[in-house]
Amino acid sequence: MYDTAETYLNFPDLTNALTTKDLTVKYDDTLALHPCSAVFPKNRITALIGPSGSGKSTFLRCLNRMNDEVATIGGQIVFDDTNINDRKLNVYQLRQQIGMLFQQPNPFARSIRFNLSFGLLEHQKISNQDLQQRMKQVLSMVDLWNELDGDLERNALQLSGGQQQRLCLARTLMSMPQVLLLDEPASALDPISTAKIEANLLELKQNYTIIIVTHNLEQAARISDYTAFFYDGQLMEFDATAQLFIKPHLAMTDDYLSGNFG
Amino acid sequence: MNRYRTDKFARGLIYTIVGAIIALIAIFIGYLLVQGWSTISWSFLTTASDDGLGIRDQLFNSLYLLILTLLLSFPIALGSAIALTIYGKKSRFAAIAEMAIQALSSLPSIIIGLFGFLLLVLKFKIGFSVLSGAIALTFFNLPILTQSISLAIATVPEARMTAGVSLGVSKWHTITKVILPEAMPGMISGIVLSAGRVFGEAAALIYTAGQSAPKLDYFNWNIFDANSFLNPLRPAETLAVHIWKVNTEGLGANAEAISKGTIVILILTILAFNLLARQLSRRLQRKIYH
Repeated sequence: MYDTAETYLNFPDLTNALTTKDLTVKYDDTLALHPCSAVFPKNRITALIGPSGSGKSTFLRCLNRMNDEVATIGGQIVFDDTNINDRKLNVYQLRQQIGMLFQQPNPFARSIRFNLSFGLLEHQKISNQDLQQRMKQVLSMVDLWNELDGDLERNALQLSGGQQQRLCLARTLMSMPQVLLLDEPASALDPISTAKIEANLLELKQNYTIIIVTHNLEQAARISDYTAFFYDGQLMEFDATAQLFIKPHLAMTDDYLSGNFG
Repeated sequence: MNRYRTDKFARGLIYTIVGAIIALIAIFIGYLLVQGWSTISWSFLTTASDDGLGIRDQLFNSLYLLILTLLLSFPIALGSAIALTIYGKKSRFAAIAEMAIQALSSLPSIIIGLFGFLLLVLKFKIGFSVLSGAIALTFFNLPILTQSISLAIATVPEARMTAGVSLGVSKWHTITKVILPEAMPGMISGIVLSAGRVFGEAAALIYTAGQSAPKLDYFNWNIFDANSFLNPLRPAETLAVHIWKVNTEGLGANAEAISKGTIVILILTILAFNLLARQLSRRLQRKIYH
C-alpha cells in the first residue's frame, strides 16, 4: 500500500473555469471521495486518470450534479462565481452549461434532428432558422455534417458507434455549454473513431473547458494539457501533463504510469 | 448414439411437440367454428335477444365494457408502471407493490366478481351495471396491464434517461417525450392483448354487470335513460356471460345454437384483437426506428 498522506497538487496560474473545494462523496456510510480541492483551467483539457474505483468518475459526475440521487455530496463546486453544489440551484439550467458525454454512445432512438433539438427546446424558444443553423454548426464541429450529407431525418441508431458518439458530443454542444465532462468517451470505440473524437476535442478546447476521464494513458498524454491522478478516492497529484508523464512527483503516480498497478 | 444424432432426435422431438400443440389448437378452434357457423347470420348480429336469437346488445355491451375498462385501467396501470420501473426502481416500496400485483394477477376472477358484487353492487348501491362491471374488470385487468406496460418501459435502455437528464431535461419530460414514445409499440400490444382477456371474461361480470340485457335504443343519446345504449348504470350482459347463461339455463329450443354462435363471435373478436396487436406494434416500431 502507498502512503496517501502526501499529495502533490500543482495548479497553474490561469483563468479558471471550475474549481472544487473539499468536495466529498458519500455512498451510505462509505466515503467514495475524500475532500477534493481542484482547479480546472479555462479552455484546456484536463485528464482524470487512476485505477478503477479510484473515484475519478464519481468526481466527474458530481460536477454537473449527476450523483445527486445516489450519493451525498459535500463541499463546494464553484462555477461562474457560484457554488453549484447547492440544493436550491436549478440543475436543469446548470446541465445546459456543463454538458456530459458518456462511455457508451447514448443517442435517442429518434431522428438526428430530435437528438439535437430536444434538450435545447426544453430551455429556450428558438426560431426554426436559428435551430437549423445551430444544428449545422455543431454537426460541422464534430465533422458529421458532411458524413451525413446534411440529412437530419435519419434515425440516430442507424449511425456507426463512432458517429453516434460524435452525434452525442454535438448534442451537448447545442446549448453552447462552457464546460464538457467526458466519462471515458472513446473506450467503446475503434481506433479510427477514437482518433476522430480526439481531433474534435483538440479543436473544441479553443472555446470549451474539457474534463475527461480516461483509462487510456496514451490518450491522456496525447490530448490533455493537465492531468489529475486519483487513487483510492483521493486526488493525489495534479500537474501539467508533460510534467506528470515525464517526471511525476509521487512514487505511486510513477508506478501507475509504468503499469505496475491499475 | 453420437451427438449429431442426439441433436437431430432432440430437434425432431421438439418439432413434434410444437406441431401437436398447434394441431390441438387448430382442432379446438376449428371445431367451435364449424359447430357455430350455421347460426351466424346478419340478423344474429343485429337483433336483440328478446326478439329471438340475436346477440346485438351483448356484443355492444362487451365492447362498451371493454372501452370503459380500458379508460379506467390504462391511466392507473401506466402510472404504476412508471412509478415501479423508473421512479421507485429497486425500492422497497416497488418490491412490495410488485408482489401485490403478482398476487392480484393470480386471484381467481370469480373472487373479483363476488368482491365487486359485495362492494359495488350492494354496499355502494351501484347495482348490476356497466359501471360495476367496468370497475370489477379494472381490478381484473390492472395487474396484467401494469406488468405488460412495465415490461415495455423496461425494454427502453436506461441510457435514454441518463442522456435526457444530462441534457438538463427533467426526468418527467424525458419519460413523456423519449421513453414512452419508444415504449409505445410494446405498450399497445400489451393493451390489445389485455383487451382480449377482458373481452372474454365472464366470472368477474356475472354478479357485477349482471345477467340481463335490456333492449337498447341506439339512437337514445341521453345517458340517464334506462334504455340508452350509453347509460353506464344499466345492467349489461356480455357475450361471455351470455354463453354461460344460455348454457346453464338452457331455455328455449335455440339455446344450443345461440351459445355456439356466440362462441364463434367471441373467438373471432379475440383473434382479431391479437392480430391487431401484432400489426399495430409492428407498424409503430417501423415508424419509430426508421
